[in-house]
Amino acid sequence: MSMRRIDNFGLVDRAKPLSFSFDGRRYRGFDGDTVASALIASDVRILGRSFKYHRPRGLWSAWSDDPNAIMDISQNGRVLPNCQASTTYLEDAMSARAVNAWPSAARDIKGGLDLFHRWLGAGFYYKTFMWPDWHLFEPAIRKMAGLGSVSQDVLSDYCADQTFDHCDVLVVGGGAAGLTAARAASEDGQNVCLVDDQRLPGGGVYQMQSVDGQDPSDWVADQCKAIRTAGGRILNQTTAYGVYDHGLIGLMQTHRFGVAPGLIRMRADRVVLATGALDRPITFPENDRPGIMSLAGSAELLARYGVLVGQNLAVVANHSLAETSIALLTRAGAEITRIDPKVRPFKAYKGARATGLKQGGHARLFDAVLTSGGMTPVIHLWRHMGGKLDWCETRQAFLPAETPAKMIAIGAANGTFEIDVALEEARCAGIGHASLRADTRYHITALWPEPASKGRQWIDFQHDVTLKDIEIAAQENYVSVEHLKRYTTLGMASDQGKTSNMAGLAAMAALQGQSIPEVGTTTFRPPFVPVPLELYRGPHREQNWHPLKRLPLENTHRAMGAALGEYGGWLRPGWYGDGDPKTQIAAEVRAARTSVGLFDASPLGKIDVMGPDAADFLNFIYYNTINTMTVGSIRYGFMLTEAGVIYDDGVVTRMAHNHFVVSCSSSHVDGVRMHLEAWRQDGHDPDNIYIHDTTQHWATATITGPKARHVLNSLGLDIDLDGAVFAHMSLRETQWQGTHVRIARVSFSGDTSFEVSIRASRAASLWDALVRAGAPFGLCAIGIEAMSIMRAEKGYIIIGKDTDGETMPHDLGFAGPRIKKTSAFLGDRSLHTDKANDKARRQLVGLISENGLLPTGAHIVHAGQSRGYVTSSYDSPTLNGPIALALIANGHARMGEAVEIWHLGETQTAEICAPCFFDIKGEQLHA
Amino acid sequence: MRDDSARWNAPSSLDYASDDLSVIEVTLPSQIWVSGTDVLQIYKDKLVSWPDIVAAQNYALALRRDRLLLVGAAQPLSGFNIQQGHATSDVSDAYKVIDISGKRAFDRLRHGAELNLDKPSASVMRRAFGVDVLLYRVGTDARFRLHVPRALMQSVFQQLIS
Amino acid sequence: MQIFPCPFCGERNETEFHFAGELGKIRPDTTADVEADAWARYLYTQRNEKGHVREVWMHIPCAELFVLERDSVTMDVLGSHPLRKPPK
Repeated sequence: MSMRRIDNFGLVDRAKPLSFSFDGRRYRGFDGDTVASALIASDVRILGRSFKYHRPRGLWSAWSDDPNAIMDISQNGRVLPNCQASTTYLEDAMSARAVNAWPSAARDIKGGLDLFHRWLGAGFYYKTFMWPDWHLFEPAIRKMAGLGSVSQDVLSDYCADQTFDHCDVLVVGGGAAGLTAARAASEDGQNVCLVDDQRLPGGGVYQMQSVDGQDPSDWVADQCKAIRTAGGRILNQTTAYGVYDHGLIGLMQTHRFGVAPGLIRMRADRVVLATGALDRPITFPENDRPGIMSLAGSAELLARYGVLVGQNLAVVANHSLAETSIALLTRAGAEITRIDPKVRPFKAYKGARATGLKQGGHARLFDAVLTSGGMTPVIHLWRHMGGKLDWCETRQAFLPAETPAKMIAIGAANGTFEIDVALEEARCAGIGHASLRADTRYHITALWPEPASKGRQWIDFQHDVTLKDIEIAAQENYVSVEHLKRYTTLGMASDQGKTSNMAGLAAMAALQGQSIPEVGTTTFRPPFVPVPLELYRGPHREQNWHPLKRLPLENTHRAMGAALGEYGGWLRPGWYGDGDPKTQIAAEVRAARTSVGLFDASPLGKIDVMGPDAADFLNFIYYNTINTMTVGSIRYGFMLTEAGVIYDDGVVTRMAHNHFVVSCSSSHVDGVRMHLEAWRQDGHDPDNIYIHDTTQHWATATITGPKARHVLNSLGLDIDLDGAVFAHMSLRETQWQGTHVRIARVSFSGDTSFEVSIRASRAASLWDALVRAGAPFGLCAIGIEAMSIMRAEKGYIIIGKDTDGETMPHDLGFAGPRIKKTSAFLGDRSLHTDKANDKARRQLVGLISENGLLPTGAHIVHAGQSRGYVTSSYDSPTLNGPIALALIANGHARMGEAVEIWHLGETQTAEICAPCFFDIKGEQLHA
Repeated sequence: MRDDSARWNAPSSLDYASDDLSVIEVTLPSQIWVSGTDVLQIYKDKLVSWPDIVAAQNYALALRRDRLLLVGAAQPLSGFNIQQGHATSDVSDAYKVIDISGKRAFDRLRHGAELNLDKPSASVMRRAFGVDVLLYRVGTDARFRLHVPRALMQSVFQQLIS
Repeated sequence: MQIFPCPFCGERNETEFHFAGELGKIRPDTTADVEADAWARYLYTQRNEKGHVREVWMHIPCAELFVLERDSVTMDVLGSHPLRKPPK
């Protein structure tokens, strides 16, 4: 079927052919192929285009280090952008399209951009689009730049699974060293997890003729079996992409195409790093031509996928490991021509369906040119963990230095390139011994970019950073490698410099006349491979993104036709009925004002504060005086921050001498509980104060309106509800049908109100009883929207709506404790700063407008400056007209004054009044 | 001001069963917080922490250095007892309680919290699925009991079985 | 994700904790005169040290307020103990 596929090589299943397309043309591959290996097998040479110059790009390597073949891939209507062709396993009916190329990678119309390369060097955009303004050019440039395109279709069930896990030993990498270490550790009785990013573990062993005297496939199968038998786990297609704080390791487990990867947050007592090493490119003129690829990558293509990149091959290498690859390629029938990279000048050129090399005046064509400039150990996770690196002159590479706590590197990742030594090292590491770096038989001739040499020599294939660009950066004093990276975008492509970093910093070292270790590396940051954002979102979506608290009576409300919405973290009835909301809400207000309303107030805080020091503690916490309260009484008060700003308002009930209930705002309960706990343990005696947040034990039904007492009377409670006996701001406890209830006479509506609290499991019975008892009086269930209007009519504030981050109690007219309270309380000193004494403080007032509803948030302006703003504004059904509350500079002294209100360019006038529009004398409240 | 009723699943039964995961709602006779400097000492015979396995009907869950949750005890009066120095609150309805069992039980719980059976803790309180819950085992080493603040049980349950 | 040691519960994931301030802030006695500068220092001045820091954290599930010593550069945890007086 394919000219490049070699019999008896590779692990693909030739009994399972798959069909797919690339840039609109149809191809075939096998199960076990990657998109890249199937394309190479089909003799496709150009798989992509570079980012900046749109140069044609062939495959560089066979796995995650390939920077070139990036594709938007779709299958069965599911489209994923920016897939690495070299790591995406082929599936039937896939359709791939090269990114950054149109109409195809082979014939990209923007290929002509390359002609302008002379003007497009490092810093071109920074220098060119400064005048008059970058933002003028930005849209067009952004449109030209970028890689794949995101599909408009939402992948409905694309949801990453996220979980925590733990093991004694995490082995990263399932090559020869990793498998051996995992086996040794699990047979030693340790809880082992081995992760490998490919479908079949084994790493590079398939390139070898035998391992430990066995066929590589058999050897891998034996190791896996032994690991599992000893209780170890093996996670395939799982990449350890980063090490985070305190050694947490991010594992990304990929699945079949179109299925979101899973995130495992792995905590391991010990990490064995067996991540291998990567082949690095050689820097010479035109070294980015398609057909020039990694020697190790081509060997891996043959070993894993049975794909030989060509018959007539040039090998340009400078180290001893190249021999293994050459032997493999030769066994598959390739003719190898060795080119000595030290003999310069040599350069590549474009031949028809071939790659040309010119050296010493001779020009020759090859099917492919395989280069290897040395092996770079993969030490990304080592650096994430904080491990140090040493420069090894013998290996011409950075190697793990002193071992960070809990991590050890073995095998090629540790510079141990010989299989026999690596296996022994892995066995030792598996059972917890330190690794000893042995002498190496590996030899390499130093071969690094040579500045000032001729020709366009690529350092970063994807981002088109050439040796010349590094020279420009050095010339312009961007000599630190971190500056170099950002100025040239070297190593900032989607492969994050896996191929380019070493050459880049070697070039900078040469330009500076320094050694490579003197120049150092850039910071290694997670993730090691590109990770879809979905991995981090996972289940934190839709109803689980910010779960709302649910009322005990939610299903009752639903049955009554409630419109539920979020109010302060709770899902609560905004109003009832499905007519026009405004009409419904107004009807609820009228019913509650004229007869009786029933309101679910369950989220109101109910925090028990108990103990011998409870009274003094709350006296310190509250702006208001608490320790003089009598048992059974209720007091309205403010909690301030130490900055004197109002943090919460609500009522406190004294249940007993040493027992109070703090009824904070519904939205603030968790915050207030922590606030109280912090002050309890810091600055007070925690053995004399106990704080029990019992809010969710209770459900609270508020009965409000002129007929509230009648309804409550019908429940047949054993208490005297007469207004003279059971006064406003007091509490009774009794039994209702054998269940304990608390009845608080407090009011947020401004009318006579009773808050009846009962344990949550009995809430529905109580609610139903109240509905039945209220029917003869015209009882109407009211939602929080109606309550909000009623409280505004009365001038009662909502924290955070009618107050802001500067509001102090005296701004609301509660000046008493500020002047009179002698004991210490939170925020006390802040109420007497220059700022607190400022005459121009914004104070709470009412506004009357002749011209209809004032917009909430509209500014009160004077001489072109804001003097405050409208905080609440409603069409009052009770007053049959608009009402508003506002915070206005020096407002208390400006009653009756006309002010200008500005909103979205329109102005109107309103008159300042007292912030109370209903029952100004309090007769209905106290009735 | 928006009707979001349809965006939120109505609270459902807390029972779920599949081949490898089973969740059932448990109704406990009572749940009572008792705080005091010596409560852990006083109830030390009944004290449950992580990863203990409860066998009794009446037990005391260690919550804090000075607080526990009595399960199944007779209900004393809420308030502060000056002689004992104990603060007591009935919270029988503050927590909904479920038992989780089956092969996938521990795995599902680990989707919501960093759990480790080898790492004991003095308290059964922890944050799971974004909520402060009580977690311990009952009867067998593979049956987990979870107390969740009532208002957030719907969310925890949905995440647990998804 | 860091692991912090709650003095009561033991080691837990960082998502269970809440930073409550630097250790060592003493609230001025506000029943006596407090200079504006002293109050401003109490409210707003942070040491913001590099290296070994002593901070107050809360373990939210058990509400334990405690002193956490850690290294603000390496993120290493150096120890923790309750903020409250030792138990009787």
